[in-house]
Amino acid sequence: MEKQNKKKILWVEDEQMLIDLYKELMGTMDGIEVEFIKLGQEAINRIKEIQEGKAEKPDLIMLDLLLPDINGDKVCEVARSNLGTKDIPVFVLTNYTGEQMEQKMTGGLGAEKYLVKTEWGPNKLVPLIKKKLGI
Amino acid sequence: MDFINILLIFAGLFNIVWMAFFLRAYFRGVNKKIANFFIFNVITVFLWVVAIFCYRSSQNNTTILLYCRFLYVAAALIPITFLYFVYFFPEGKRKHSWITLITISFPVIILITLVLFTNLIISDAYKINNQEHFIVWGSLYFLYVIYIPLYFLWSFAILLKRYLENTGIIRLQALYILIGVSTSSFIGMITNLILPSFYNFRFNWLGQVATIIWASCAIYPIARYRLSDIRIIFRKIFTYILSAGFVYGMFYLITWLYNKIFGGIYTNGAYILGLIIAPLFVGLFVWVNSKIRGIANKYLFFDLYTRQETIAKMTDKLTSSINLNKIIDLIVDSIEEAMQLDRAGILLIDQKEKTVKFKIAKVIGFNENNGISLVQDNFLTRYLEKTQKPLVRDELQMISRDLNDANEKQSFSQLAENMKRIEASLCLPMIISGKLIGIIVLGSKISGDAYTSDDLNLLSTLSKQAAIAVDNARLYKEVQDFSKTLQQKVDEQTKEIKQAYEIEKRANKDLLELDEAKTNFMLVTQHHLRTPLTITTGFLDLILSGHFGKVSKKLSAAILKANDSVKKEIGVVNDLLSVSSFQLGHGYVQVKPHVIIEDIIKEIIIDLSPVAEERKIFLKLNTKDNIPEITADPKQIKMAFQNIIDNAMKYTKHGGVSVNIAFENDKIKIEVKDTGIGMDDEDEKYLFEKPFQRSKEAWSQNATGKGIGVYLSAQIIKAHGGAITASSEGRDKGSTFLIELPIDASLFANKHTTFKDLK
Repeated sequence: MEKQNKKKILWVEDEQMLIDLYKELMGTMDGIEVEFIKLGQEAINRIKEIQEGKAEKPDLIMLDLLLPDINGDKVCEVARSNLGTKDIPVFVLTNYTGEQMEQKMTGGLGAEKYLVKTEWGPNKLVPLIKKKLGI
Repeated sequence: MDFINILLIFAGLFNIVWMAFFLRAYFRGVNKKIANFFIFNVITVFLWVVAIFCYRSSQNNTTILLYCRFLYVAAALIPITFLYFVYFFPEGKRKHSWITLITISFPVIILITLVLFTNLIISDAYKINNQEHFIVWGSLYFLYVIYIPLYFLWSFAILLKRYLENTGIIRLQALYILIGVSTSSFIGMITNLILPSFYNFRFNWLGQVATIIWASCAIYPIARYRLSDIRIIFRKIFTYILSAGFVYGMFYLITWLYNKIFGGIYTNGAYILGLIIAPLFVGLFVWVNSKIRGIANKYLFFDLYTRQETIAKMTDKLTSSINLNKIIDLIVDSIEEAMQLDRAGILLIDQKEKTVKFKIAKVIGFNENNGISLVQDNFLTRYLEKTQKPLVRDELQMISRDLNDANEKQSFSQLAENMKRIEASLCLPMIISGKLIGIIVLGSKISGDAYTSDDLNLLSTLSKQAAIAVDNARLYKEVQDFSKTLQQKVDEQTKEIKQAYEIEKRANKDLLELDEAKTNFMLVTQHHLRTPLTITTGFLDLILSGHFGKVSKKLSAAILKANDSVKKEIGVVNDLLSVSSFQLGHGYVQVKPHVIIEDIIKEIIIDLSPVAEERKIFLKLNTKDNIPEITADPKQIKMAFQNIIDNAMKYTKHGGVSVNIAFENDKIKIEVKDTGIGMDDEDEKYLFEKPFQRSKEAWSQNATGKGIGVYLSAQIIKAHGGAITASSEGRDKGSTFLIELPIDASLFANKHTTFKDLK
């Protein structure tokens, strides 16, 4: 699909209220389109579609780890496994603090950042995303 | 003394010598009654021989007539005594025996009386030159002529019956006696009875000489089948006589030679030649002797050789195998073949049973059930164990007849019965160290022959070999079984151990899973504790930033307070989660090299600067020396210092916090000095001991810190092998937290004892 001027974010988050919050957040930014996915399997399917060229490739993936079905690390794995999606930057945005998990995500699974939600409130998160997307 | 008389002497001696031996041996196992009759018969024969000798030697007609009468009395006694013997042969028991005896004796007594005291049988006898003596028969002589063959034929008929009725030794004995007596009596009757009837007395002595045949035939079966010592004696005498004959012959040969060549034996030529002949003769004699012996062996013991060969082969094979079944097969098959038997079997004592129990190892020809019946009552077992010799069924009867004890008699008879029933003729004991381990049971020879004494010797030796081989094989089997059992046990144990290991592993795995579950617990707890906080602070931030519209100052202030509280709560939750993370064993230190403490502190200061600015207190960093890189866990160290500096800032209202880093005594020294409320001595002591420890001032200041951070920091620092102390000049005089860190925390990492064990 032809890439539009808008930047696309694929945001994986299952908590509705947080989705509302982040929606508000993203609402303050122009030129960014966000797709929220609540389930891990759905996210994997979307990634597969992207790989097959059936869906638009996002410029950034925001990834929560604790999802109801499959944990976020699997989603990251899938994204990493395919050339088509390998290069999409992944920001892990989670409330889970754990040395091993952080290492796993940023190391083996190649996530660019590991952000703890409580630390990265709207005031910090927005500038970061903007910076990443070059807006 | 003519040649015939010499012969007669020889015959007489022969009868005596052989009979003596025979009787001595035969007497042992034979019923006394039969033995007596037999002796009686032998004596009459002997007397007959003596009588003819005397008769022929007499020169006076009166003595001739006298000896003639004696002669014919003796002759008359022979058939009757023989008949007695045969009548009672072999058991010695006959119904109405006395009556029978008297009846058959009666005519004989009359006849003898007539011969001795009347002229009715023998009327006269006288000498004739160059001829045998002449006898004039009486008118009733024909009675005599009828009597002798009649009684002999009667005996032969009975003997024939015995032969047909019996098996084994008895059958053979009957046969040989029959052959012997019939042959010699036939000759005797012709020469001493028939011809004289026609007044031909030429051979009236041959009958006596022919008794040699009878003697030989009588002895032969006995000797052959029961008494090897007779055979050996026979062989010795045979060899001796032949050797003597050889010497005798050589003597006359040489003497004749000397006479021929030198004219006499006392000549010089003879002396000299003798010197050569003497040694030659010795050599020759030895050679001849061994040859004679060989011949004697060959014809006396010939059957022994082939059997010995077979058995020797078998013994060889026995020693080469260790398999019990193979050995048993070998024993039974070999014996059966070598001895040409109709039945053979082995019973082995079951060693596992406490009581003596036999097991049939192998049988050929025997009915399996029958084999066991032999040993049911233990009598055979005990007997064989006692005697340790082969047991021949035929002998059983003889043994039992000689016993006095009724019970024993019964037992023997019973055993004989049992053996007869299953058609076993021979039981060989297999003895090891004096204990019976089994019995070889044999049937009869197919030929119907009895077991000879040599057979028995051979079989004895064989059974000894067999016993050893079986014992060895059994021991070997026991060892095999033992090692099999051992192997089984080891396998079982190994299996058990493996199972236990698997269980352990699974338990460990469960622990790991539990660990994951713990992780999940952390996951879930963190999620549940933080998510609401995230949401709350997120929205409050948005509100404050005017995202939802303009907010009045008053509202903004209120919301700010709320937001602050939430943010603090986030901090508390962080600390709580850290502490519980440690306590769940996840808080171990992961040291890394090339950690720059300065940089970490700088980061913290940058992070906390906004807050410091807000509260209008200073926050600075001083580095004294060149601080080397250390090996530490950067994240944990950062957290530790963050807590301390944060803590310092919390209790400082005026002035500020300065962080001084120095390098002394191979240790990094970090000083966090604040100008805050300070602590008194008690606070100092307990500050790092427990979480939630706060100074009394802190409580009173209403500060909202919960005291977790300091505890956590202390744990982290201690985990690095460092130390932390807090001091204060006093109230309101500020506090100094001094932290020491080693250069290489890996040396000390995780050796801190207040951390719970990881598993």
